[in-house]
Amino acid sequence: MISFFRKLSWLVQRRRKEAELCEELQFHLEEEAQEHQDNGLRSDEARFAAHRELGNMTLLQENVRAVWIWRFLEELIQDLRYAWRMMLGNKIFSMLAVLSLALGIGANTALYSFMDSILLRSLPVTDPDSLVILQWHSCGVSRGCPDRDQSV
Amino acid sequence: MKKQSRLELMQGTLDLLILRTLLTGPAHGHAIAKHIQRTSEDLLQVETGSLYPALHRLEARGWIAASWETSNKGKRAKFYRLTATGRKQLVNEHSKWRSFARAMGLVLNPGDQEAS
Repeated sequence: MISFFRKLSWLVQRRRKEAELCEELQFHLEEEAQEHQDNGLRSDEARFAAHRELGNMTLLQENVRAVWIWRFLEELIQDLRYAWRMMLGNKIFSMLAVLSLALGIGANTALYSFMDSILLRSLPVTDPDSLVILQWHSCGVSRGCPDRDQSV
Repeated sequence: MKKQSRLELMQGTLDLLILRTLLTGPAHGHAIAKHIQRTSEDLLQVETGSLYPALHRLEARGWIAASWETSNKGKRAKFYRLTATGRKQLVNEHSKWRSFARAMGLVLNPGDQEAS
């Protein structure tokens, strides 16, 4: 999972990564050439030998790039397939998860659209400001509370 | 150039060798390759073509971390070092390799075991 995020950040800073790879390989070539030179080769021969040992530079860069990007996509697909398999393997859990998500999203949408139409939009009447809310209170001291009535 | 019979690196062993090499301290790619070659008495030749992809793969997994530092010759180089996860992985892989080598030995030389 950490690897996933690291590759995601690498994907974003791809250009810098490629420049760095170039520099890294260049350093490798210089080191290799230096070593050949220390062993008694002429400087151009040493450089040539270093290049020969490294082989196909473009292929190497492609292979490293494959580690950054293609593996990343492959693993993403693997993760998705793994998730799908786990969901199929545990049907009740995934159904409950989907159901609770659906209910949660549905209820929220309903509530917010209700609130939106009630609180934010003015009511479709000619003079919304003149509307009042009437509240009725009935005092039940003499009649007693409803529970007692039911229990009789 | 001496034509010594060099061993082909087996699949998956390069990672272990890199991790083990970095246990002694941070190193850049070229130094890692040379260290493996020297320590194995020139029997193991690390191909540059597989070394750098392996380094980047290990870095992606978080087993090693890279940073740009100046080498002892004053040039900028990408140094790799072992992370805590990498250290754990090294112990893991090492014991796996040991039991694998033992198992191979048991099958290839059954006589040795019976004799001892």
